Amino acid sequence: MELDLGTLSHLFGRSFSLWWAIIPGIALGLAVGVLPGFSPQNTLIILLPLTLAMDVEAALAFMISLYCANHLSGGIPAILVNIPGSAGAAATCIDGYQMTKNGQAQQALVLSFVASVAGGLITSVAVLAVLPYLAQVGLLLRSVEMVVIILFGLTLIAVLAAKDMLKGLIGGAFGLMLGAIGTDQVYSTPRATFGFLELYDGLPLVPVLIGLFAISECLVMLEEKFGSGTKPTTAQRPQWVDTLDGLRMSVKYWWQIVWTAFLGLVIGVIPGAGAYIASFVAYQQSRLFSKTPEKYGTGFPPGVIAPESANNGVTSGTLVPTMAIGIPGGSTAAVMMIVLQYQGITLGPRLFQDNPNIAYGVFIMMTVAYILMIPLILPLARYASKVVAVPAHVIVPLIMGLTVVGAFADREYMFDMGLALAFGVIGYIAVKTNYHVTSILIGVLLGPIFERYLLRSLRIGQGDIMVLFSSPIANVLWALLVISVVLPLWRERRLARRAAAQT
Amino acid sequence: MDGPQQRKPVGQELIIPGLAVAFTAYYFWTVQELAWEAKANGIVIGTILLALVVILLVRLGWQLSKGQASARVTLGGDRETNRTRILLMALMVGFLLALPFLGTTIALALMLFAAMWLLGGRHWPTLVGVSVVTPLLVWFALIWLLGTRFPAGPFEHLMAALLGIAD
Repeated sequence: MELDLGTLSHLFGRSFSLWWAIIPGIALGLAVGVLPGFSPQNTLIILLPLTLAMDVEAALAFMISLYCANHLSGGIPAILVNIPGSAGAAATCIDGYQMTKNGQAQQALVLSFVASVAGGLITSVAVLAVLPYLAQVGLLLRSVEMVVIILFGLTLIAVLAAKDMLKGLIGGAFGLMLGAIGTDQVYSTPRATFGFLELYDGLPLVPVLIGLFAISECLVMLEEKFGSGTKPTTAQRPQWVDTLDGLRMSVKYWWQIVWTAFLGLVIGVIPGAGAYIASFVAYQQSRLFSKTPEKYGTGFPPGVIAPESANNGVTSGTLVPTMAIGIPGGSTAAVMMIVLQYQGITLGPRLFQDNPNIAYGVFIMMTVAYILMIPLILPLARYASKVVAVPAHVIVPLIMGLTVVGAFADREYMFDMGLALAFGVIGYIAVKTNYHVTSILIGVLLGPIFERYLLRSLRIGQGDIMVLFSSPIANVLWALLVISVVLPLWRERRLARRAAAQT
Repeated sequence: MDGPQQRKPVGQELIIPGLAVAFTAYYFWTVQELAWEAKANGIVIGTILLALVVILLVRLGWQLSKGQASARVTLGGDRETNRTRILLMALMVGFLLALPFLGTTIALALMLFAAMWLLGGRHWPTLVGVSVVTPLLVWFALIWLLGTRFPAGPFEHLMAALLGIAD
């Protein structure tokens, strides 16, 4: 399918017809984004029984709307009570909360909403413009290149997202090993199934996802005790004049919105570099290029715009590698990938040929979601001041109960509920010892795909492993992989030497 | 050199690699008799994994030899929180064991109530509200609307009889 104007209008029409899935997704995303502890991936995990039962396009529209809205509303508690609703809103606290303290809470909320919607809208349209070229990339990638791409993706996640690169790599390799559980693809002989028939089809992704993310996070939350009930802010009576003032500021700093959104998009495309990194990089770059850097941190509007625009730019960026090469750009994209795989849709280079409605439709749905968000958000700014943190003693049992129940809904095996608990313990240990859980999950997710491409490559090379170094594109990717591992190590050593010389 | 209490404990950093190595060894054992196509993937990944773990061991060994770290194992957290965490996991296991007998709705209600109580919730309206409304929503959305075959118990049988739906 060519992405001409006719196709575009057809896909836009289809996306708008899914308003019944998009609007609840937006509403839910806005609501849970305000609650610290409810990350978008946890919300999507809780709702897996629902999305797995939905039609694929409706499920996708619902998940994307929820994801985008969640990125938007994460800034609300960051601005009002100095607690980011999501990791991507952490940088918003710096100037957003200062604006609240200066009596400009509503202006800060409007800035955050306008920057988020505009940033998301601009970048999803930009991705649509380059998608036909990305689709061509699929034709260049064969099994040898895909083997290297998967290893490269996991390496990037380890380098950028994990606190310790070596542990990130171990997590990714452990995930790939776990992904090799089940019968082999040629002779169907069972491997490492521990004698469980339930593992013959491989490690089920939904319970693994639930365990590694939701249950482990609940076990960590017990230590944080954040939920003793944050006092809602009652800064001042909301007034439309403040909303209009926020809109005026947004127009004044329109260029900030545009360039930081693109910065978020570029960072989002890199697997592992999510909204958290993008928002801080955008904040720092905005300050660096500002004529008045001293105003940052005192309640300066661009200090709210930069992280919010960037973290919504990430939403479209993170889906680019997911759709184009089948490597999820982050944990939420991994959840979406699992739902799509369950529906029989294989993401990756062939997607643009096999399922163009999904490949292009995802970004059109995102554009539509941002368009539908516009009429909802400005009234929200007026009434968003009632931010209440749900106490840990309520949120933890709710997440654990609902997600373990959700583990059953996928295959209807009691075994999967137990598996979710087991992976919850593994995930908790991984979190506490800095072994990045996203690396493990993406390893498990990509394990069977990696095996398929590796076997194809080895067959082409008649069993010779050197076939993996036989293509120019693959060799360039190998070189980039080595550079991505060596460069941070070299930088770290140089910084350590410099620090030692200074002391 | 720092005393043993001041040195950074690193024993816990070996739990995940230990699990990974044990699993890889088990994997190698299960595929030893199989054709190369069935074991190629595991051997390639397993070898990379073992090499990474060796690098980690060298790094930790170096830190231990320099006196910068101790082999003590800790996941942090105070004793009270750890006890609550273990009890919560035990409660979840109890929930799974009770499911076939009590059915999803009643077992979930009891689990939610007990878990909230365990974590210090004492506000009765919240305790009762959350542990009654949530399982009812689960029953309505997942069992009644979507038709997922969750373990059925007295409540599910009763509702099936009342509404005349297949149990």
